Amino acid sequence: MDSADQHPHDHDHLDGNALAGALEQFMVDLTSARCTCAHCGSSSALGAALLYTHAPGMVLRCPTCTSVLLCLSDQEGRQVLTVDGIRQFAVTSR
Amino acid sequence: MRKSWQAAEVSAVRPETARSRTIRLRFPDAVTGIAGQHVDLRLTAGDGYQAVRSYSVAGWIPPDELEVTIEELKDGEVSPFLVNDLAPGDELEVRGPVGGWFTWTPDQEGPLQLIAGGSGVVPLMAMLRAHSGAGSAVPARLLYSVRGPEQVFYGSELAVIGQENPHVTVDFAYSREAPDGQPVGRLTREAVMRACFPPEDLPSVYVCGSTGFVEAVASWLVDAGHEAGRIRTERYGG
Amino acid sequence: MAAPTRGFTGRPRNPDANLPPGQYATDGFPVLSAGPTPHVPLPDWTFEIDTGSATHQWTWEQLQALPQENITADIHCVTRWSKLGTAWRGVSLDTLFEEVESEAEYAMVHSYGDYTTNLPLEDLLDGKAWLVHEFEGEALPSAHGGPVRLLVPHLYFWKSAKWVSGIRMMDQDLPGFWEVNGYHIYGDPWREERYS
Ligand SMILES: Cc1cc2nc3c(=O)[nH]c(=O)nc-3n(C[C@H](O)[C@H](O)[C@H](O)COP(=O)(O)OP(=O)(O)OC[C@H]3O[C@@H](n4cnc5c(N)ncnc54)[C@H](O)[C@@H]3O)c2cc1C
Ligand SMILES: [Zn+2]
Repeated sequence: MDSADQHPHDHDHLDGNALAGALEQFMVDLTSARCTCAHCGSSSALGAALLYTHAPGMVLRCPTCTSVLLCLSDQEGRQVLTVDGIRQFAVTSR
Repeated sequence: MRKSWQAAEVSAVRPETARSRTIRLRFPDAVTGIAGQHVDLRLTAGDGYQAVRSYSVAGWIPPDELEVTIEELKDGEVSPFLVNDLAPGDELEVRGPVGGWFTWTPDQEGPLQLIAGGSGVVPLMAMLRAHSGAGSAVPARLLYSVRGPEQVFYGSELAVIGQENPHVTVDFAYSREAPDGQPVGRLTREAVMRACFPPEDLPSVYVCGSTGFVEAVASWLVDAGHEAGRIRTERYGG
Repeated sequence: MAAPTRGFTGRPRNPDANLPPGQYATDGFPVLSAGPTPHVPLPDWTFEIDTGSATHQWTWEQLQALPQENITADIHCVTRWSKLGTAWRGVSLDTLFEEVESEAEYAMVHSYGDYTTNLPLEDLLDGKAWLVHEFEGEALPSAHGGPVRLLVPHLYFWKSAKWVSGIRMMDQDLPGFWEVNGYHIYGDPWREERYS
C-alpha cells in the first residue's frame, strides 16, 4: 500500500482485475476489429490497413492518412506491441 | 486457448503445375476454419534460424487436415523448399488457420465476386469450395488472371464447377499464352469490368494476388463505382 | 526451441569471425522500410539542424558545394544481415556542425515521412557519420534512402536514417521510432545491443 496516499479516497472504484470478463471479449481475431486512427480519426478494419513487414518489426499504418497505427516486433521471445496510433478498438459482441 | 504454434505432419503432396504443389497437412487435433483464412508456417534450420511465411488455406479435409498450394518463387527462401524438398512424413510448425477480414461465409448476402492473380486464386478457391459445399444459390463469379493455361491451379475442378454449377461463372484472363482463339495480354480495366458484377448489384468483392496486381485491380474497381468498403484485398507481396 | 525442419537451411548464412555477434554476411542489399517511400524532388530538398535557439539549413546545391568524402564501411542491420565494404559518397557531419553552436548532447534525427532515430551527438562527430547521396558510384536510389540518408556505420543500421531531413538537438536522450518500440537506445552491434 505504498502509493495508497495517491489513490483517490473514494469508494467508487474496484480493482482492475474485475475487468477480466469484459476484456475477454477482445480475445478475438483483432484483424476484423474496427480501429480508429489516433491521428486522423478515420476508422477501418485492422485487416484493411497497410502492413509493412520488411523492417525490424511489423508496422501497420492507417489507410487514410498513413500514420502508424501499431508496431509489433518479435524480439527473441519477447513480443513488443505499441498501439499509441489507435484511439479505439471496436469488436462485435459474440 | 489454442496453442499458437503446433506441429503438423505433411500427409500428402501433389503437383499443381510445374512450379507449384498442393501440400496436405495433418493436425494433431480437429481443425476448422473459414474460407479465405491463412496459416503461418514456421521452418527452423539446424542452427536455429527460423523463417515464417503465410499461406492461404485452399480447402479443409475434415476432421484434421487442410491443404495449401504453394508457388515456387525464383530466389525465394522458403517457397522453393516447400515445392521441391518437403516430403510426406515431414513436420512443419503451423499457426492458425487465422484471419477474420479476408473471409467469406455462405450466409453472407449479395453476389460474390472473386478476382485472382496467379497464386492469389488459393483463398478464392476455398471460397468457391465453400459456396459449392453449402449448395449456395448466391451468384458467384471468378476472374482468374494467369500467365498461361499451364499455370492454372485446380484446372479440372474449376472446369467442372464452371460447367455444372449454374450459380458460378469462371473466366480466365491469360497474360502470356492463351489456348487457341482466346485473347492474350496484360489484364486491362475493361476486361475486369466485363467479367465482374456491376456496382449496382452490390457484390462482395475479394481480390488476391501480388501487391501490384491487387493495387491495380482495386483501384479500377473503385474508379468504376464499387464501394471501397465492399472490396476486400489480400496482398501476397512481391 | 523447435526441432529443425528436415532439409531446410534457408538462405546461406556466413557467420564470420570478423562480424559482430549474431550477424551473417549478405551480398544483396535488402530494402527495409517501415512506411511508404517519400519522393522528394531535389529543388525542394533541405536539411536542417535545429539547436532550439537557432536553425541551420542546407539546400541540395549547398550540400553539393561542401567538401565531399568517399566512405567505405561495413554495415550491420539488426535483422542480422551485414554487408561488408559498402562504398558511399557524401558530407561528414563534422563539416555541417562546424557552424553549429549547441550545448546539447543528444540528437534526434528526422526523416521525410515520419521516421526518427536518436543518437548521442558524439556519435555523429569525429568522422563517424555522414550525409550520403551516392552508393557504389551511383545516385542513392530512393529505396535505399535517396536523395540523402544518414550513414552511421558503427551502430546498427536503423540509426542510419533513410530520407533524412534534419537533426533536432536534445538535452536528454529521448527514444526515436524503433527505440520506442523496444529496440536499444544506443545500438552497438559489437555489444549486440539489439533490444532494450
Ligand atoms: C496472407 C498471405 C497469404 C499467402 N498465401 C500464399 C499462397 O497461398 N500461395 C503462395 O504461393 N504464396 C502465398 N503467399 C506468399 C508467401 O507468404 C511468400 O511470400 C512466398 O511464398 C515467397 O516466400 P519465399 O520465402 O519463397 O520468398 P522470399 O525469400 O521471402 O522473397 C520473396 C520476394 O521478396 C523479395 N524480398 C525478400 N526480402 C526482401 C526485402 N527485405 N526487401 C525487399 N524485397 C525482399 C525477394 O527478392 C523475392 O522476390 C501469401 C502471403 C500472404 C501475406
Ligand atoms: Zn489516420
